[in-house]
Amino acid sequence: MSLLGNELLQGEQVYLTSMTLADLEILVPLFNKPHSHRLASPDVAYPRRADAVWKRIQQQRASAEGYFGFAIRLKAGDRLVGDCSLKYLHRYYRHADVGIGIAQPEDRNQGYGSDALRTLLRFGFMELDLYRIGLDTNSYNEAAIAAYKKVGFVEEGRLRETVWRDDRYYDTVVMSILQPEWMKEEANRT
Amino acid sequence: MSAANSINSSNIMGDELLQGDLIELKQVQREHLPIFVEWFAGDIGMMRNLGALAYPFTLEDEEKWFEDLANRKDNYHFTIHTLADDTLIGSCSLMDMDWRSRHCKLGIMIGREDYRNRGFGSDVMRVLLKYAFLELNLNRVGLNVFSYNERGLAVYKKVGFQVEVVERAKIARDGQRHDDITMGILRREWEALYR
Repeated sequence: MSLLGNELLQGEQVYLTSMTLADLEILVPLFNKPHSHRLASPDVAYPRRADAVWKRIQQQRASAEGYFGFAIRLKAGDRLVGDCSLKYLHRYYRHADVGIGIAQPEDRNQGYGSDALRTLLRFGFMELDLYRIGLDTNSYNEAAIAAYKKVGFVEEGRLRETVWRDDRYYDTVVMSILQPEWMKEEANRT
Repeated sequence: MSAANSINSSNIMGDELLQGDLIELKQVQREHLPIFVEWFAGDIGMMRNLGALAYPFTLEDEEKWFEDLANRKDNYHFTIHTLADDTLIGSCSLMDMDWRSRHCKLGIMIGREDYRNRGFGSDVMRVLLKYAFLELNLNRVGLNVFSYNERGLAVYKKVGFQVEVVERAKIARDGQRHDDITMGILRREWEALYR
């Protein structure tokens, strides 16, 4: 990658670009479907309004913690397929958490999510100079856990019985990738 | 196990709920704030264990925290007083309530150094667990502790917490990276220990 080139936010199949309110008006109704909502979040599957999500993003961007969110678009044809972000940024400890979602079920398992995640990691480690990038996921979202492992995330443990769904408890799986681990992953891929 | 923290000792109409063998939990008062400022300023190690930077809080910081506390429904904060003579020795809280999945996070500090390593802290933890499970009707209580805080880790294990997650290299101190450990105890584990 060249320092002054435009490759930083370009993956192989997708690229990351700024998120607009118009993008959210497309994505939020898709993420509001109970199946997608419950995959992505431990919270109540209660539909959110695009304008409220937009407002919260602006608040997070203005906060001391900071927030870097992107729309994920296909390189071929520019179609919007999802969103990703680095949130809960900690500037002096140099860590952040990932949020990522591919909006439509038929766009999942196509490699778009992994490609976007690798691109987001490059932004986090190479542009924001982070040391650790972590994430939480619900233990029943096994496809996501496998995808994160494939990209290089290491499971660090499980917060037991922290997600209540359909009359039983599930765990929260905590994973992370450290900057030296990511360097190695990148070296192995090229 | 002592009677005060046992699951079988509860008397719905009594005051034992907030009492252990050595301490009692009470509502935090504005007049306590200068004492907190003094504790933090005099004990950078304690500030760091709590997750803050080694940058002492001011009285204005504490007053703002106190004002915010009144409006929060997800934070049950107490001061810790000795049963023997009502000495204020620290503060503690149950916070980050998830009412739907029924878990929360516990935080504790024994500000008075001369009351550490004498069983006061673990007595407080047992009262908070009793409160979390019998009053707040929770299923799990978690806490965070940095990997270099060996005394904290030992106390939490003794009270019944298990290590659940080791978030690697999450913080930096003195030029080295350290892990952030999450420990947790489930209601059924607490019942087995304290019944």
